[in-house]
Amino acid sequence: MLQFIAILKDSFREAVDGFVIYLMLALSAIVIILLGSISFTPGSPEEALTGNGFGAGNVLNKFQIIFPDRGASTAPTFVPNVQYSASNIEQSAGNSVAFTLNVSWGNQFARPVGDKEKDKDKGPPPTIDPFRYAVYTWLEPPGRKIEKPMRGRGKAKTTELELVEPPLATPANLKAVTEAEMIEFLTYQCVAFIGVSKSDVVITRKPDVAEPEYKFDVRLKNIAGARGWPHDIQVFFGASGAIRGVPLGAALYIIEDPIINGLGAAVTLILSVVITAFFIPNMLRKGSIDLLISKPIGRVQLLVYKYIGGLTFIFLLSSFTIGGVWVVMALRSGLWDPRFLLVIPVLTFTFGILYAVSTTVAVYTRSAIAAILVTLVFMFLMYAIGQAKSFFDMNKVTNQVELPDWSYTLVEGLNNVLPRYKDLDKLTTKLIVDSTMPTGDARAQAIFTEFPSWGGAVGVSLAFIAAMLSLASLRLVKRDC
Amino acid sequence: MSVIETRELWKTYGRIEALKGVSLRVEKGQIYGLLGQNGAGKTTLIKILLGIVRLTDGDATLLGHPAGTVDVRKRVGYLPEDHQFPGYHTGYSLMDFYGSLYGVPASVRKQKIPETLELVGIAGRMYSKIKTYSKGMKQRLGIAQSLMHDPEVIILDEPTDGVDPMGRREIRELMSELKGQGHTIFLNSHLLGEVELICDRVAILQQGKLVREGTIAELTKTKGTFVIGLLSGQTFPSDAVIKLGYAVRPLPDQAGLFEITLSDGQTIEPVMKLLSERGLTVVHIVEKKQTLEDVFMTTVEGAEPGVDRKRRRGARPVGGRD
Repeated sequence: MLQFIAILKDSFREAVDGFVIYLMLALSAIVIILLGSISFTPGSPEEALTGNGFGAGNVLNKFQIIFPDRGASTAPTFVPNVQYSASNIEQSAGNSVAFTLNVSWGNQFARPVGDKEKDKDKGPPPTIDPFRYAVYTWLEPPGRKIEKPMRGRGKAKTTELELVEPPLATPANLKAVTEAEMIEFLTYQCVAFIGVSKSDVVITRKPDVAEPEYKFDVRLKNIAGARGWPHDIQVFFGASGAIRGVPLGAALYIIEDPIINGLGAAVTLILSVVITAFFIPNMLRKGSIDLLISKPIGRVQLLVYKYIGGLTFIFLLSSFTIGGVWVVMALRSGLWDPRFLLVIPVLTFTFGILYAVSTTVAVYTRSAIAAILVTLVFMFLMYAIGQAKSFFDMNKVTNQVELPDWSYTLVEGLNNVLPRYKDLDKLTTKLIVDSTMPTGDARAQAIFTEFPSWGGAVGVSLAFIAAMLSLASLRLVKRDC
Repeated sequence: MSVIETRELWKTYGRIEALKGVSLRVEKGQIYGLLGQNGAGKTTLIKILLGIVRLTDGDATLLGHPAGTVDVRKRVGYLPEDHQFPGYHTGYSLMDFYGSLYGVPASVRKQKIPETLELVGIAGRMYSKIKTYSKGMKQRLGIAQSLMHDPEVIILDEPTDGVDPMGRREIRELMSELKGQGHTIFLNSHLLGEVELICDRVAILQQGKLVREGTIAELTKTKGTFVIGLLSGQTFPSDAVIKLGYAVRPLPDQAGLFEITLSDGQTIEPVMKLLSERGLTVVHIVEKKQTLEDVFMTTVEGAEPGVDRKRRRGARPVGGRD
């Protein structure tokens, strides 16, 4: 343990020795300050609840998306013929808003999806209360997942969407839906799509409204920090013009994922590959390796410790940048969800894959230049395979392009055996989506994106790292220094 | 039990034979010097002892255990030739790093680091970055790190390389002090004068073979040779002295001086008596002695330089730059 800590400390010293890390930290500080200058002002309730003046549209429209089983199902279904609108909108103190929620039905009501073959001779669909049906759908367990045939992959091949069929309901089922269940459903929808917490929602049903129309008095508190509530965004501490009507969660997602976890992480990874590529060749220099090997430490141990030590570089950098971004974003938006911080270990682990390649090349060639070139080519290759996998996964659902079976097999095979560079990126994106978006929006993202499992992504990548380090260790153990 | 022992040690790098059956023993408390031309295999021998390179054949033990094992390395301090310390360390942090690798507890390191750096004379700069050190300071730091964990055996490859004469004397004194404390020192040096001054035993390697080995006295011992000079104008009776059974030769670069070499059992007295009987006056008589340098030069004279003279295409260098 003492030796491990000593090598970690040594790697830390090596990492902070050059000016490059300070330059990168300074750039990160500028980014953090810039992001810290962004202000988020809640949009007016009138605009948010009616969609007038906002590109984002009416926040209540999303209520048509329903997660069955009282929200426990992650796969949603749709009941599109229920119309939700707001009237008597009033903003009160403490970021609260009160309004009347009007529930009516559209004229495109269709009977629930069922076994059409079996039901086709049963006559026209019964006229049922669409709102009660929506509540019933929310209360019931999820139906079967909708399967879609995959073009060009044979008749038998289908892909399963993260979308479930709505339930079949009888008039008796709908009549059994209670007022309390209606309020519970609407409360859940407010939480899932507006992003307020359950305790900040108060709903009461207005009496004397003839069904199938409904009116509810709704009071929402703390809309300033609500993830789904449209906000006006200004940069440079309010000096710039405002971007209007962007849901807070979507704004945070754009900052945290494409900007920080996408562009920022790519730049950090590339620079880290270049800088850390010198660590192992420096250690292996004649006169340096002699000193280390003459100490009571095994060669494999030395290499593995040094490899882990090399990861401290990106860990420091990502901790500073991501930690800083998280703090300023939380201070400015009021949203203190710590899941974004998990990007730090994930980014470090992603770099671990690249650094394992760099270490192995460095041990075999003792050349930092060779290590940099091979690692960057490998990085590009992993990115290309990951992009191809994403495209193929999407194509399974959308069938945009007809592709031969073998191309699916090839891409999936490569993805299975090589480290899951892109999968880790997708999972981090999901993490950010979950931490920024309201739960309903976050789950809806998964309908068309096939998210890999953490176990698979981390497990295969770990196995790859172990294989690379074994190759490097074998070389170091066998060769005379 | 010998502290260091090699038996028929062989090391080959491809087609190059760096060590050819080297056998030597170093006893506890000795200062043992290893001499040889560049490429003679000195550094290779040291690296085998420390497990930095693998032996091809034969046997090497350190402190009674197979050389190069992790346990043995805990008890050995090593200063390599041409060492490269990471420039991002200070003298103190480097000692702390290496001390940790040796498993020295933090409290001991805290006390021992300033003491050891004081011993080698660089305590005043211990918080400066190593990249600001002179070559001599780095050499002193190298010695300090080899002493950090109070090792039983200290292996020093060119310890006075780059050190000024004053510093060399201090290092010699330090080695003597360490010897006095019971440490065994294995020294590899080109500075024959130094080796002669401090080593108990010396071995000379030539092209991977051990060609001479013994104490300084044994190696510098010569067959009795005297240089005699007579009073100006007198003629040395060479023929008469030869008749007495002595080898005589005039010293070519010193007119009037003659070298008399004694055979086994002979003394110089019969020659002196002859000169006295002939009324000749001896004004110069000196018993000639060899220096270690003479021994070394005689030993390696005419031999091929080391294998690192010029690398053939595809050939690998041997050990360090010795």
